[in-house]
Amino acid sequence: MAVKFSSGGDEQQVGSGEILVKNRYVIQCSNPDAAYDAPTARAYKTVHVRDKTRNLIAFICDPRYPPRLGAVSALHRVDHRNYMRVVDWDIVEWPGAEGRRYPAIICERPKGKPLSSIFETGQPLSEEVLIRAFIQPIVNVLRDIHNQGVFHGRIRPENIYFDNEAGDEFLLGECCTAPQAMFQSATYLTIPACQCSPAGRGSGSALDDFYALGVTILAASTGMDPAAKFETEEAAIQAKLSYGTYSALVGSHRVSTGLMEPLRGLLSDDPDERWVLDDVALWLDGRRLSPKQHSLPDKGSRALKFAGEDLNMAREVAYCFARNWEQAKTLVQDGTLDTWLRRSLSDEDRTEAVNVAKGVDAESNAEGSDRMMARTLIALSPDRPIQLKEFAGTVDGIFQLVGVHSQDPEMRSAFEQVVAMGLMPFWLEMQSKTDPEHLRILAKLEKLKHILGQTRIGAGLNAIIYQFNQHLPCQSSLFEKDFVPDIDYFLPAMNRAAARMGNEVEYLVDRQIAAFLSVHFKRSLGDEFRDMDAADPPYIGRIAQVSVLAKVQELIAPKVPLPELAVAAVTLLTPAIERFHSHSHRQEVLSKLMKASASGKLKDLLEVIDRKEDVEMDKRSFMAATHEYFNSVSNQIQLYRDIVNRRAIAQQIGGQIAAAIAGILAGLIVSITSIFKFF
Amino acid sequence: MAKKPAKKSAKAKPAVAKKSPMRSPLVWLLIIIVAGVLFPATMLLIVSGMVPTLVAFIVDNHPRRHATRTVAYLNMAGTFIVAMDMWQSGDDSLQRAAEMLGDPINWGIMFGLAGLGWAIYYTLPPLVLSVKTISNDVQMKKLKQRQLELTKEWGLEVADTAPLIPEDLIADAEEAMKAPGEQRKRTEEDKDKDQVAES
Repeated sequence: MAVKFSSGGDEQQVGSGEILVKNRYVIQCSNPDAAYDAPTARAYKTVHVRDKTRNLIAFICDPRYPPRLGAVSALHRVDHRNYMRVVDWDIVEWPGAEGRRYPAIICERPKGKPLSSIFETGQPLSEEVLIRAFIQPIVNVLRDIHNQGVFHGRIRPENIYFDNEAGDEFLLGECCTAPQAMFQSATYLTIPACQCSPAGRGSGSALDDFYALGVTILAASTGMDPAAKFETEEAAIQAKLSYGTYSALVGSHRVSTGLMEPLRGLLSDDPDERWVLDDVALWLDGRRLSPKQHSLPDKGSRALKFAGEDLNMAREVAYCFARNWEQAKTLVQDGTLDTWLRRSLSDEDRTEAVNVAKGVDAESNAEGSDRMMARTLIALSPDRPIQLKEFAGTVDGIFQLVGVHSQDPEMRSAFEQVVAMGLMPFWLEMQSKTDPEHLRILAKLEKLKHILGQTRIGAGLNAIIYQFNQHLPCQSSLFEKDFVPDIDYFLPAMNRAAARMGNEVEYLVDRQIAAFLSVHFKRSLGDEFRDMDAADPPYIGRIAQVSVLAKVQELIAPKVPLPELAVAAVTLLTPAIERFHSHSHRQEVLSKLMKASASGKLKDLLEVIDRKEDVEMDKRSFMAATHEYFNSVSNQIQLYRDIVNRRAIAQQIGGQIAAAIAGILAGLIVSITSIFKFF
Repeated sequence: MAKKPAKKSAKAKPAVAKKSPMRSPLVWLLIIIVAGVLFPATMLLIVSGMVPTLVAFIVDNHPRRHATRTVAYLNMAGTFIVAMDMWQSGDDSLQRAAEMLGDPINWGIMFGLAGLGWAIYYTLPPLVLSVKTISNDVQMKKLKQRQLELTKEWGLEVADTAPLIPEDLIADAEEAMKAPGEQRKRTEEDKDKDQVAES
């Protein structure tokens, strides 16, 4: 029975049995811990083999949303009493799920309910508890997490737990069961992040975490979920854009004066003004700061009426245009936007930026107008994400976005268009402040851009996706039931896939595997991929596939036999024995292959099928046989001619022999007669 | 396909073979006249006894004149035996020659040996034909067998460069093999071999 995830719209189903992870932890599959389920992961009670008193929980993650395995090892080092420590992880086979494997992340189990349980009673935390038991320890936890170069991305009341009966100790939940900030509510996201597609929010930052902390503090201090006041996510975003975060979320709530100061600081929409670790630490130490209230962007003297809304600010216009992509093109192209910017908003810089954005060669085709539209949105609101229709992400987020949706042709196409349209350099050009990390990403993309357009195996968009999503599992259809986040898991997964294939082996290395290996395997596989591309003769590609796997086996696990994979490789290579002309040699090679497969070493198979000396010898022998056949047929033709003329030939030869016999006979008669007559 | 042998240049003049003087009938006539003057009795015997050779010469239109030669050798031996009798008696007059020609045994010797020549001549070609037929069959089987082996070992690709056997040649050969007295039952195996070879 497979694990069912709520994001798939199914109810939870419980497996039976236990899973031993790394010989240290036992996941109790029949003992779910639904109270601690994450949006894309199911929680199960877990026991440490040697220390039964440890309170552990295992998150079985939805493979469709790759967990942040890269962050796990860093978070493992964060050992704080107020943090749900990540203990270990592995890929486990779920019992009764027909061999399906899931990522499992084992964490310390919280003792109490989530903080969001206060919303049911509407009972807020007292200011004293909030400051002493909540803000202070959580800020310390964030310091430790940020020091590891990881940003949490899931700070919200549902992911913070009471850790004692008294309700004055808290535990910050995990953050690695899903892509960064993918399932974070828009209310808890900064204005730029909440306008991104869920998977396109990038790796986040300390500023994002402190912003989310601010919203959480607001929720805890009021006993109400700030998100609850908005009917939809769009409404929350619209409110933030129109009134600023603080006004939109705090609204009519009564916030104590003691908390007003940190809330203003943490919920500031200006990243430069937003409180971060040092500011909160100073405030906790008793130093009172007076954060500036973030002023809203300039409003137009007249609203731009579009899609039934009155839009007063450039960022509102950009957000509304992004949601009404096709209709908005008309306003941009016919000069309505330009007129509003000049006459109503009177923002010369913005007007100039929009003119620069429109100043590209806007071809009459849809792609040209999309490019112009995407640039116009950036120019209108430079801090919003890069967006092309439904595809919206931060500079680093668009790689995660295309990674999560790597099987979606529309998303792939959108990503390629974003790169081809040069939206990323334009976005950076429009920023008043440049983040060195963004420049680094852009430089890396420029370096790899040439492989994006390549159609050869091991290159193209797939390679780019794996390059920028280091722990994205290999998307090959061979691993439909498996999860291969890195090269260490590759060969065992290949062996399992080979076992599932049985005798129907069409390929062992497809384009996804090639792209995955081109990123994760440190040795060059260019020659093998080139051979795989070559369609003629077909066996070359098959040999190349096995050669790729043999190289990986030699480097990664030379002593680990892969018997099922070897048998599958023999099946794959069987047509390749046609490279030998000699049928008897083919049988010999096949028998040798079968013998070699017993060792489970792919290199042994290649030594049988790809031995240069044998190939050369076979070639030479075939040439000799062809020559012999040629001569044989020539002789046969001559023989046919002889048969046709054999009467004449027989007559000729018979006459000759008759004359010779007659001559000899005559000589004998004369000699014998002479002897008798004269002697 | 095999290259056709280069044709001989059309401009090349055929070599003019010097005709042996012994082949000229005039020379022979002259020899006979001279010998007839010098040895009239012997020549009478020879001319009379060699009549079968003359007949053979007339009926034999083969350029190599195998029949003439076969008959001539033995006819000559028979005539020589009769002539030796005459020479042994020491009387080589025309009368003696006439007496000897009057003896039917002598005619029997001369013409009998000539007849033996004809018999040899008519017996050997069919004999050779039979031997040749068997030999051709064996050779053909060997070639087809080898081709079959090569095809089995190397596949049909091995025949890719081989010349095509003209179909009319095969048909003619089969027709020749079906000729009266030469028909034979072809086994299924032979047919299979033919198909492989022709493919």
